[in-house]
Amino acid sequence: MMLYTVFPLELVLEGIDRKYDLREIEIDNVKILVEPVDVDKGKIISVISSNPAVYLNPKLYPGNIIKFIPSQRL
Amino acid sequence: MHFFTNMGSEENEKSTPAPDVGILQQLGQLEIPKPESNIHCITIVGQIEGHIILPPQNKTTKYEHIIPQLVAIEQNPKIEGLLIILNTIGGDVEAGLALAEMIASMTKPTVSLVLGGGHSIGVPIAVASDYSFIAETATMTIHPIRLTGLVIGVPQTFEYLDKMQDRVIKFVVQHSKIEERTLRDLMFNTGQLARDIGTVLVGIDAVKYGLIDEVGGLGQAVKKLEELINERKKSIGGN
Repeated sequence: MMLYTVFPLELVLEGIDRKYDLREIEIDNVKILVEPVDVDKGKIISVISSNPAVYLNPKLYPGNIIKFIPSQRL
Repeated sequence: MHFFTNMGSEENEKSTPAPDVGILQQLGQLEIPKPESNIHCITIVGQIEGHIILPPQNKTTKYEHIIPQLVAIEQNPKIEGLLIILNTIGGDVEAGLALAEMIASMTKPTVSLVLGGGHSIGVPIAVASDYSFIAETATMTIHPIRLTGLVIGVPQTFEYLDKMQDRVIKFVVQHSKIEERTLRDLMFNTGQLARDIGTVLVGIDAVKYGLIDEVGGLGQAVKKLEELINERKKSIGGN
């Protein structure tokens, strides 16, 4: 890996051993990044889409709490 | 009104007494009228993440998110143009160049807009589009690639670094109006950056050196993109 950045490397790599606890889930073809706050709940961290209309959906605003339901594919 | 339902979890739960099952499916349904946008927008922010997942305090843009989006935009007939918004501090060379190459090879009109900053590997991404804008207050830092981690002090190390550097320089020179010599001079300039050599270009400077096409904001960028879309439509219709 070769980083080409204006940020000092010690800042970029600080806490590289820390674990990520974000989950990527897909709702209606929209990928969202969710941080689990409970067994069945998650907080939306960000929306990943190139469609600007998706970001206007109030239910997908970052900070919203959504409920997980068991997957059909268990 | 749902405008403030994101302010807190309690408020949110009160306002949407949802049934136990099926809430996820519900979330996907848009309540607002869905205006079909013929322009899609990709934001490239924070660190451009490469082959290693960066620690969570970094805001990152991941290529596994962007590349499929670019493919979808190129392939979807309903999408006619792409707006790329940059506010990045750089990142992985390979990932950045990959994104830049993908954007440059798209047949649909692309316009990029540098807001805040487009530093280091953000520079090739900014110039990869058909037309580039920079906000008046935005900056772009041009500096050499540094080798990080364990460095073995042999001539080959320098050669490798030089090759990486050349890849970036070549791409930028090919896709913008800047001369190779000017770019190298800016890159190895001393006396501008405290901890590094290089140059910080603010808004208009980037345009003066030919790196970016025009100073402007969102309005101009969208207008330009629409212009390019109309031109493309005409050229396709004319054939």
